[in-house]
Amino acid sequence: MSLVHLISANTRMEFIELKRYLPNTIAMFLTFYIIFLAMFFGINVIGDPQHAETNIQYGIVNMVFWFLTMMTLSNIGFTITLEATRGTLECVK
Amino acid sequence: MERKCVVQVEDLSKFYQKRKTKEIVKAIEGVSFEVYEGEILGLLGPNGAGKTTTIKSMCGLLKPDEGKVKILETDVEKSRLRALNHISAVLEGNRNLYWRLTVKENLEYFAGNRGTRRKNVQSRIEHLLNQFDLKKKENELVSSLSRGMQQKLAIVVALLADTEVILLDEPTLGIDVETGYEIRELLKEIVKKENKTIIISSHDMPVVQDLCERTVIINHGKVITNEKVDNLIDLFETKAYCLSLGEELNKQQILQIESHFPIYEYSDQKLEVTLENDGDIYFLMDILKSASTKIEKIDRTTIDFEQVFMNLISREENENVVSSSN
Repeated sequence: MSLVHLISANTRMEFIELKRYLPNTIAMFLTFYIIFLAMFFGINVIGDPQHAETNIQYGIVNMVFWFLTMMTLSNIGFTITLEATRGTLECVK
Repeated sequence: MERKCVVQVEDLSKFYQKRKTKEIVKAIEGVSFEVYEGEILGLLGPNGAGKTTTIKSMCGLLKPDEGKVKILETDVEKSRLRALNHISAVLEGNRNLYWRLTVKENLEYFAGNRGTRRKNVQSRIEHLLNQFDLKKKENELVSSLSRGMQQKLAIVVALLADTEVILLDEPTLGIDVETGYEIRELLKEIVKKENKTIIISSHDMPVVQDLCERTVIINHGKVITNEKVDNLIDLFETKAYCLSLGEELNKQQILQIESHFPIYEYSDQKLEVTLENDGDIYFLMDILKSASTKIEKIDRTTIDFEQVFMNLISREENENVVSSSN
């Protein structure tokens, strides 16, 4: 049960930050949408017209996973770089 | 009545290896002490003495090479999570809080991180915010708070966990006199009312003298003193007097003072004498009376904890020099 409260507290914190820094949030979703549009039209132009529907389905799934992976990696990278600059890593070694 | 032992540090040792030279450096060696329920203990020492290593080992952030730390009989190394449920820490600096969240959101977030339901901590949050006079600031972002307010909030976060032991690293660093005093009084109140155990690491000796019942002083990775603050002050207390004279002493008087009082200082009609026996004060008066020297003021020189600390450290340094030369 304590794990539920832990996840809930962290989700709430993320939600508060998304809401509080709205321009950042909008910019993030806009980037996601623009990349999606670029991929969608890219498949239509470059891809095989016969398999366009299947390709788009794959494209959407890939896009979601790619975006999540990118977000996670960049977040981890950013946090590590930030904490390394602040000297936190030296503090816990 | 015998007090319950809350924290036991037994023969703690930690060694580091230097990256470039591969030389083994001792951080702490054989550090042992106990902390009792309802006690405020000061963990002191100069920079690089081994305080932080001891604190990190107590929090489970560092694995000691030898020895163990027990918090309420739970071994920190063997059952880390269970032991950490009894201890909360406020480390130096302001990385303990989320600056982008408000005061209340921070408290709710940290309560959730400890696995507590948000609704269940509301009354405790209200109580602590009122106690620490942060109620008016509950909806303000932490980034907009003053350094003192942030420090108070960090202490509230530690108290919210309702653990038996609270570890404070430099709780009054960079804080103005008024807020520092306020924090000290609040900590005393918490210990008195809630019977918490507080371990303070600080370089601020007046704070230590005012707050701590007992101190453990570490130097060169070893415990050099584990004693009550009052006992240490008594130990180093000297019967020193500072006399402001209305006129200069004559040569005869100076010679007499020199021969009877080995520790004395005289300049600009000010005489500072350390008396070895209670009766020495009468002898000093006789010397002054012999030339009818006018006495304008007599002050008893008292020793504070800062001087005690300096004496202990320099005594240990001298002993080290002697033992290494032998």
